Amino acid sequence: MDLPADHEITEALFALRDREPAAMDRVMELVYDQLCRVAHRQLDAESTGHTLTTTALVHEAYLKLVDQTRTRWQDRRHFFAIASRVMRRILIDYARRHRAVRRGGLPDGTPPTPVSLDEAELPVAERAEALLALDEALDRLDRFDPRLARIVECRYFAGLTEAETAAALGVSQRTVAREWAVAKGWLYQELVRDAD
Amino acid sequence: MTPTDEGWEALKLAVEDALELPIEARAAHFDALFRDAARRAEATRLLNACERAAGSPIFELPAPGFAAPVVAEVDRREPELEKLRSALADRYTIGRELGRGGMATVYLARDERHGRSVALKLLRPELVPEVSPLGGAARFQREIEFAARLSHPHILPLYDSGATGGLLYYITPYVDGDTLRDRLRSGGRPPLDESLRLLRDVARALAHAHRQGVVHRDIKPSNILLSGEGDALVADFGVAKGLAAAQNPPGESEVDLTDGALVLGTPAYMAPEQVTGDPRIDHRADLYALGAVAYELLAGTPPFAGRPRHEQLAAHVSETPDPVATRRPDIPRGLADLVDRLLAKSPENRPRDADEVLRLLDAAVVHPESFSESVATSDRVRRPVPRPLRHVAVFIGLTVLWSSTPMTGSRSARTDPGASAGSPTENPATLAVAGPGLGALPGRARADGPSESGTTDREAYELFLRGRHLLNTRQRDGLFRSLEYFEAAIARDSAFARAHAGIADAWAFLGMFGHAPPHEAFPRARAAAERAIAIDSLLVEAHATLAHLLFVYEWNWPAAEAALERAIAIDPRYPLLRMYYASFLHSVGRPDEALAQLAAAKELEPLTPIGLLSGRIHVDAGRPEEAIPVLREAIEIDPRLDLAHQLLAHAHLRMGRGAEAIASMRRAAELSGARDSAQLAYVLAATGDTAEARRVLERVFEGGGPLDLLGFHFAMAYAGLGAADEAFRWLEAAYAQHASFMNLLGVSTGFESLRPDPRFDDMLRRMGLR
Repeated sequence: MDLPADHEITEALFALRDREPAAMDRVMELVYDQLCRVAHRQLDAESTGHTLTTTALVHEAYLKLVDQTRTRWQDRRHFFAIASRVMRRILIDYARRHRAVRRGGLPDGTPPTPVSLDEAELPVAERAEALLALDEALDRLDRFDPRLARIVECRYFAGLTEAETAAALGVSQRTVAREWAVAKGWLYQELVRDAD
Repeated sequence: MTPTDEGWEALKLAVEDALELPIEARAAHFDALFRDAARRAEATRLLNACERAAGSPIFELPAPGFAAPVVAEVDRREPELEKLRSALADRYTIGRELGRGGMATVYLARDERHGRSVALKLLRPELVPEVSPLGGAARFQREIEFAARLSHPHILPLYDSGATGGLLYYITPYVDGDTLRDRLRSGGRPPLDESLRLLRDVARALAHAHRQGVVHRDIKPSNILLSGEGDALVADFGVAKGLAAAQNPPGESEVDLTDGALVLGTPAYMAPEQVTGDPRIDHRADLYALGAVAYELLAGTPPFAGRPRHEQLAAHVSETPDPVATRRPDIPRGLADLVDRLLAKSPENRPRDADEVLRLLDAAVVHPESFSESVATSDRVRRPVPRPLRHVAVFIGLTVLWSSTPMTGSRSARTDPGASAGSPTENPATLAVAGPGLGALPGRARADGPSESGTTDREAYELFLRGRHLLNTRQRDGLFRSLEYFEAAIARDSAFARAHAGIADAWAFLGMFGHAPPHEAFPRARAAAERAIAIDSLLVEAHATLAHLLFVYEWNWPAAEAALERAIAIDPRYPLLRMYYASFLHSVGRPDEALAQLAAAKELEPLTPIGLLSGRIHVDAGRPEEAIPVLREAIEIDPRLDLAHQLLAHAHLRMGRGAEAIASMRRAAELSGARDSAQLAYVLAATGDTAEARRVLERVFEGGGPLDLLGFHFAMAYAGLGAADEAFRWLEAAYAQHASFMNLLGVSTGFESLRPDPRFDDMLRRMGLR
């Protein structure tokens, strides 16, 4: 169950260099497991009071999964952007599973728990629902402003810093800072509307 | 907010700039930018949201931190997955979740041993109590092992299953496609032809599984996968039964509603006897579920949709659903009747088995009742046949052609001329199924004029379709009656080329199956095919029939090859033609080219039943070990395929397995009668039991009948007995008749003892094969 063969991810990253569309999915499949562990490490860090940055974990995943001798800086950037997407998917999968676990056998169509965003401590179920609502809003955002959606994935889902996000997406750090502020606002607006 | 592109960019920029300004300067900034009050308000709203978002708990930490409690809770409540991950570490790497249903959660996994993607389905642990050493898990596995033996083009295979630490899982191929549920959700009610094709695929899967004694018990749209080609694959055979077995010791009623309300199966599609936990539940529960799926495909929802679960369950037991025709008046009446019958409360009132469902589906769509006035318009008549339905037609046609027993029993043909009065519907699918029928599936769209290949005469077309339908029965009476219909069609429209082609096919089949003397049947077939070609020079079905009879009857090998090549030039995408060509190439001793044509046929149409012919080629080419798996597969698909049993017997014989050879040939003889009884005598003789061989032959002779036409087979029997003179007598008789199978004389196994004899070479020379 351990790591997928290094060369597979490396090769897939090369294919991505050549703009092969299928390569993106391939890399995502390959790094999914490793990043799942990242999510767990984050959890352990929380519970033991240590603060581990997600960035460090994604970076660690990169070092483990990709053959450094053959890659270029460009591949590393791609990897971070892709890893951010995968982190989004992992967390959203968790939120869905949470909904399923909690509901047990309730049929589809049972209304979700309403989301309230302004209470200091959100119950776990509301966190899961908020993540799902955010994911849907992010899909909508992606349709008219994909760069904003990518910034949200890097900054929020992978926890990359402004500088790392800027590097991963090939934009300036100032752009990341400005756009992230508006993206949060837009998403917040959407979530509040959903909750009404 | 639904931002337009340019509006959004301006708005975003304004808010980004405002956020960098002191609070008191922001309003003035917007005032300066936007004259429109609504735009100003929009910008202000977004700006305020940005302020509030910054303090909202959801954005306080990056998502992994925010989600940490969610992850923790899921992990706590899903410890089984982690257990499974480590238990299966060597074999499977478990990846992301693909979906979850009432019984199982599905993960994408990698089969490390075979380097392929698979779907791993983990059953919900609460469904499988471990009660005893021979607990639920063992019963589940025993049940699912039966399902693992199924192999069918419309059944998703089961690769593996296992139990570890009280967890049950099973492994299937990973199909990267939608389920029928996804398809219905995203696309709504499918077109009628697509629905019919899906129902057919599922019915075929059920027919196969039921014959092997495996029931499904949870047929529903989410268990029907759609491949990229649009074929349906039924998933999860044996799972529901296995779970029922796991929960209930043998002999007890399988479900107990009063107990935990843990009813297996899916309420919308569940048969009444399944709801009540009747222990006598059988394959007909699957037919009920198929009916509910059909109802949904046609009417848009399953019969009792929109009610709470327990009410749906009760309704299955006690309430008659609205007849599907009231929800969907435009479908053929026969189809509506079939769906209503499938949903009968009592299993006795449903069709007997899935084979009967297939027959009724066929009958429903060719039945004249289902024709509308619009059939008469020429554009509808010559509407190009949709590909998926064409393959259904070719499948029927080919199986008919390569076997001499019906694939699914004889089709009942309704020919009451008064029947066309009822329920007119506009139904192109009807034409699509009935139109090409036996062996006719022109790949080109027919844009040519009505006088060439079709007809503008509605009644002529109807008569033609009935003829086609009868052709598919392949029975003597059906074939003769089909001639009458084709002739009646021609009487109304003498330029109706496809009706002439129908006559050619009917005579060719009468000749091939021994219902008429070859020297009467084949010349008539030839004349009719030529007439059809004279009317429509590009009518590929007529060219195909002509080419086929040129070698099977006339033994005119060069002319046959030229005709085959011409026909392929007309329509290179016609699988039946590739089969004919393969048969020709094999007859003249070019097995590798023959196999290449079969591969081409399979490429064109994956469901082309090439097993029989490729089995024959391998046996005759001295590669029995390669023949055996393909023949077994052909038998798996249709256990009544007499020629497959016959050829399997020859393959066993060539591998020195006498007992198996005899057993297979006995089965062939049971199915085909005199022909394979003669072959049985050969196998018995070849394995040393000459006395029994002679007894078998005597019994056949006592039976009488037109034995001359079976000269090829009797010659083989005598060749096995070492009686060369007798063998040649029979060969001469078959030669004089131009009997079936004689085209194979040059290559067929069974005549080894005759080959050194000059008389054998002489005969091949006379046939043009030397």
